Amino acid sequence: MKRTDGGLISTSFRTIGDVAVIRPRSLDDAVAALMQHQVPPAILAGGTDMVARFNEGFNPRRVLALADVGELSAIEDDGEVLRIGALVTHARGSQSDTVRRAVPSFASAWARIANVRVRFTATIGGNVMARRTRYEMPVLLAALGAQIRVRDGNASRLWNVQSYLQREGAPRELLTHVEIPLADLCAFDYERGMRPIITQALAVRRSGKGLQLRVALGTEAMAPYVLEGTCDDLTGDIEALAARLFEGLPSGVCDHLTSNAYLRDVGRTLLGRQLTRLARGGL
Amino acid sequence: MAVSDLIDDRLDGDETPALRFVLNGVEHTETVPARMSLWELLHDRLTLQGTKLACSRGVCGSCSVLIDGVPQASCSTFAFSIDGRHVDTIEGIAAAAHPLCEAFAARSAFQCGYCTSGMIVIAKALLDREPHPTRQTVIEWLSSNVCRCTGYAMIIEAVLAAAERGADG
Repeated sequence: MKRTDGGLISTSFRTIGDVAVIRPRSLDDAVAALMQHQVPPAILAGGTDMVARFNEGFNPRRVLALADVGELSAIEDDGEVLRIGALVTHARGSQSDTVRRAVPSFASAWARIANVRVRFTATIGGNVMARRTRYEMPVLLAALGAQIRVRDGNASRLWNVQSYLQREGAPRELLTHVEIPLADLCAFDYERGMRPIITQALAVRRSGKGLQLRVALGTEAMAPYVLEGTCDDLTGDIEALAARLFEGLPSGVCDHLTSNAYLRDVGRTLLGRQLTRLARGGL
Repeated sequence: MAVSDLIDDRLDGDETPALRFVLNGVEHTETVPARMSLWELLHDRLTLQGTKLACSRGVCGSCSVLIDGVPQASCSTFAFSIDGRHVDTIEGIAAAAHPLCEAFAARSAFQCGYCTSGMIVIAKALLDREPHPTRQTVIEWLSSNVCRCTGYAMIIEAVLAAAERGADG
């Protein structure tokens, strides 16, 4: 049993204190509400993570409910960047024609996150903003080199996924979009057969020098770690290529469930499978 | 707690939102505390006690209801979020004599029965979208909910039987 502010029993919806709800109808109003108070309101998107936080003792004074902020629900592809609004749910995003056209294998991977019921409610913004290592979306986005766009007052800033996840505290800002660069992206693969111990996403981009590989390795308790490498093509020894790339995993990288040697072994094995799949798919 | 937190106690949001919504086909108006969950509104205030609370964190699905046809855990939903929306609970589904209810009874698709209303709710959401789901699709959808008695086999059979009966008209 977990000791929390509520006593010996974990807190829940039934034990949180009085809350005021702020329901903005525009992004500007939402950001203004966020900046207005000494203690920033808790941001409510799909709500699935916030309720989990209630059980961990979170007791918000105000809730900023974003459901009516239409600007955060758009999905756009301008040919260079796939821009996904923070309020896009897993169900809608993974079934979106725009996402499926832009990166079909990312849409397929997205469709496997959580379960059917949660996918209808949970959002991409909430998944990232929660900054929980066990959530899968940051692993996918880290491999894709995605950036997180936030509004901070009138300013708009971009963070790469790993930097965003590693920030301390709760910055007073609103995650508005996730931006996935599409230039030269020619393949994506996600391997979650070993979840929750390890999941691994791979994005491949074509450049003048051949193929650029970007692997994001995630575990239950470790933020995604990114490894990068290059190769001419996938006709050579794929296992050797995978092993070479994982030689770049620093010795300190692991979590309390794994050792560095284990991550190295499993990671390169999974990468070998992923590269083989892509090679068989004609990459 | 910082001094700045103490002086910022002015609540300028809405503490008691007034809601209009359609519950099981009937229009309702309620004023609720902003902190109230949808489960509390349904179960405690409106005495619709077929919606069962178990995990209180959106994991088990026993408190599932349909909001605009979408299955959601009522324990993890603020009551204020149903303003302007249609909510259907197990009571509404049963009152409509949905084939799922008869199929669950005919196949004894429950042991303790605590998860049953949530299972029927999510199964209805599935059949509303896919009247003829494959067994694999049924399994995928039902995996959103937990049956602690592990009575899944008969629940899956019941959903497939209800789909078949629906197909027969």
